[in-house]
Amino acid sequence: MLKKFHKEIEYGTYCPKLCRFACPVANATGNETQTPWGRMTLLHLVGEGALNWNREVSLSTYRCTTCMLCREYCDHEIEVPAVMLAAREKAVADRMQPQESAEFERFFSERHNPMGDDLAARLRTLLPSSLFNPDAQVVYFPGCVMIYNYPQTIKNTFRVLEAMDINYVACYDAEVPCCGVPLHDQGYQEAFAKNAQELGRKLSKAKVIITGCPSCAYTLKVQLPQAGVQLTDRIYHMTEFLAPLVAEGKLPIRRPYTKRLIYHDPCYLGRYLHVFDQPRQLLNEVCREPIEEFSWHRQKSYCCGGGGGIPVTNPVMARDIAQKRLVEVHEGEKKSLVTACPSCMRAFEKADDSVEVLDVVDVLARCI
Amino acid sequence: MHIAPGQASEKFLRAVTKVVGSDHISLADLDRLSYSRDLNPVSNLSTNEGRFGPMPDAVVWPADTQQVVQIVKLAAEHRTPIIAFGAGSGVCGGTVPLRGGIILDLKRLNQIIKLDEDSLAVTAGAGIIGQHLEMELNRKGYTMGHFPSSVYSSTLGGYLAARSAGQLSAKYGKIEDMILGLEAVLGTGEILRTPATPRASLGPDWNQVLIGSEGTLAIITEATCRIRPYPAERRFASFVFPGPSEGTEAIRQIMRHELRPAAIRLYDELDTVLVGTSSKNEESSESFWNAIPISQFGNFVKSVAPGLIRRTERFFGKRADLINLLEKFATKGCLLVMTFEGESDLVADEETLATELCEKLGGVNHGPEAALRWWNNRYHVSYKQSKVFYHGAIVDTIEMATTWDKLVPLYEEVRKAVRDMAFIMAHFSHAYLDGASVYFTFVTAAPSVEKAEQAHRAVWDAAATACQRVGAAISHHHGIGYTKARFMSEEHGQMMRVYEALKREMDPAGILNPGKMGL
Repeated sequence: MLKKFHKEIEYGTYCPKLCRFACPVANATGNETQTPWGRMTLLHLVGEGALNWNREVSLSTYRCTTCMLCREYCDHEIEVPAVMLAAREKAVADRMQPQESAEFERFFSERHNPMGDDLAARLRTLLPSSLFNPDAQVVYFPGCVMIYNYPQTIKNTFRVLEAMDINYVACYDAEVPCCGVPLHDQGYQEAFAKNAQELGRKLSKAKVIITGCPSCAYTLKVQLPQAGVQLTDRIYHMTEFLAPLVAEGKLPIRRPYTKRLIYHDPCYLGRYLHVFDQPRQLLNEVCREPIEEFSWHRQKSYCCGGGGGIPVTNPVMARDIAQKRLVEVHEGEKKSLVTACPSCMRAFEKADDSVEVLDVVDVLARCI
Repeated sequence: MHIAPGQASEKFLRAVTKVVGSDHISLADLDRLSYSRDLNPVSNLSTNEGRFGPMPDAVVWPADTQQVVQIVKLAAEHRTPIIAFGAGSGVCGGTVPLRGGIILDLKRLNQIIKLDEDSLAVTAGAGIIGQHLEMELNRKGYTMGHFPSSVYSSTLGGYLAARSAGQLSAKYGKIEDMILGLEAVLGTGEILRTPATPRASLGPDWNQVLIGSEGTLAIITEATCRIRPYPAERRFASFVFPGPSEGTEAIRQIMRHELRPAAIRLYDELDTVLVGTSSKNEESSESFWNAIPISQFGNFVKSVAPGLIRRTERFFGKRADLINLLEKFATKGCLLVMTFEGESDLVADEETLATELCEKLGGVNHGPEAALRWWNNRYHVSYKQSKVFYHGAIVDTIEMATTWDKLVPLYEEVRKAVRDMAFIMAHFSHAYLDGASVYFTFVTAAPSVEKAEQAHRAVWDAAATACQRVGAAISHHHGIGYTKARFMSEEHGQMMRVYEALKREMDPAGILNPGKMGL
């Protein structure tokens, strides 16, 4: 599994660590083993036979948020997350994954989602039955994190659509509620592929899929095809779908949003899907105050700590990463954090409950 | 492979754990392994073959100066070495734990403690990463002006400990010019705090004693440094001179006329060819190649240059002399790049005057592009080492300094001494009123790691002998560590005894970074 990454591992072993300052895990821990350089060195030594492939080495590969900020500072454009995910797959195959990861997989398999709840039932309670249509061509895929943690954002999504007289978007029924990325991140490729097959059958009729979750968007768009499941080509994040419509003036803005906001670029929406402008365009349409930017923003946005399965295997690290990101929110005038990813929202809220965290759609909904 | 357990006593490690808490000490083999190397080429060679160097017994992350004090006292009591550690970007083995002991990773001391906007001074913990400090200063409208090519992977404490220099040193100075005051823990556990003052006529300057001592006399925990307003404007200029003599004369004249470009770098003929290969932007790279005069042989070199490094293992070991000969045909000049930054009017005047001087001295004006391209790629050369080591070769840099009268002779003597053993090129940078630095890059290869280490050592010995013959300093800003320790007695003469006496007084138990700096 790791042989195809020989060059990446070797280059990473001899690199000058110029991504070190950008790695959220390296910054949170201050530990050189937990830098891309350190992790690649261990895999190199395993490849050389100088180190045994054991649980300690495998655990090091679970200390990556897959945020991909390291690649921004790598002249060789090495994608460390791909190597770490392949190593995790090997860890699972060799039963050397972290205990938390194994428990997570068992939990997921029993309930078909990482939350341990009947998310389809939750969704049915949340929205009117008229919004569910199994034959709809344009489908809103809420994703498990959104259903479980941010039902109000789902309601706001349909409020915004309704305000724009968009009645052709149906809500996915969430019988298979999760895109499977949590399994993928933990190295369970077989389970991920099985989930992907089931999801593929459920979404096979959709001509357009819209989701408010960047990880879902990336998984449906890129990772499902890699697992042999091809959905429609037209998969969008909600901000991509709404931005041109709002720019056309379709959103009836009754009152501007007056509080100060700072926008956090989710890694999967930004670096992975290259969506940077649309969330800002939407916010600029409704906000009276200019949207503030983090010093790390757009292509070089800093991770919230919620990615790569880190909250499952390394929750303290996840919290530390989020808290580092939130330092700038507490500076200057009081402000709320706005983003476009339920996993980011959850990571921030768990790290600091004194910060108001909003989805872009929540902001839009407050203005109609 | 079996990793031997550390030698530190359990009693000592338990006591250290009590100080920092169990979350902030690691005895794990993998952490010990990670901290057994820095970025020196010998470490990379060993890693290439899956060999481990000496390992620390533990890695410890103290929270503050008081914890450092307690750990140092414990280490002195137990006679256990302590190696202060920033981010491990050193290239001379300065943090390699030659005699075991504990690595004291200072990255938890990473706060910006005070920003004094009136005095233009910042106080920060020694463990703050350079780029983090710079970004925070930039947000407030300031710059430290300190940009070593390791700025993304090095710390303020590391800069001070290794007497670091940044790429914009001609304007902003080196780290020793930036220091106002510092806090450090001696080997006795006593805290030394030097007042943050612009100058003091009080006898010895302890800041300057500790700067460059590489953790052998004390552990720097905090520093107050000068900062500058973030530049309002940045300008770029480049010229091509017939050779190193003409180019260095232009730099000398520029400095003599009190102009202070932020960066001023002259590449020798071969480096001029290769410097263009590091851009991601092929279009601009191509326009750069077209911008400088290249002969037919130059075109040949141009076509092989991107692949030159890849071929080192097959070629350089035996044919370094031939490769070095290529420079005779490669170009008709040496590229000088300059950047100017600061207040707009001053920057414009500096650029105008520097341009006049360069043209008067025979430089051909090539506009801002090459300098701008250098700026955009200024850290990229460091990435090249991955490729070199990946292909089994070895790359290292030698940065020497001397006065203007000896600068070109130094360049020529070192090249002459090394050219049969390695592919070698150079650039001149870090200019002063009285001299400059020559920065050689050499690449060599050997069929085994042992032979590569021997080859590496032989190149250094030859270069150092040539350097000392000319009367120059063998290190301008990389420091000594252990890989250059053998040159210290020659460099310092009888003053090594004074250094040793200082060591005995400041670190009576001999626990601070033993085996380094020739001590």
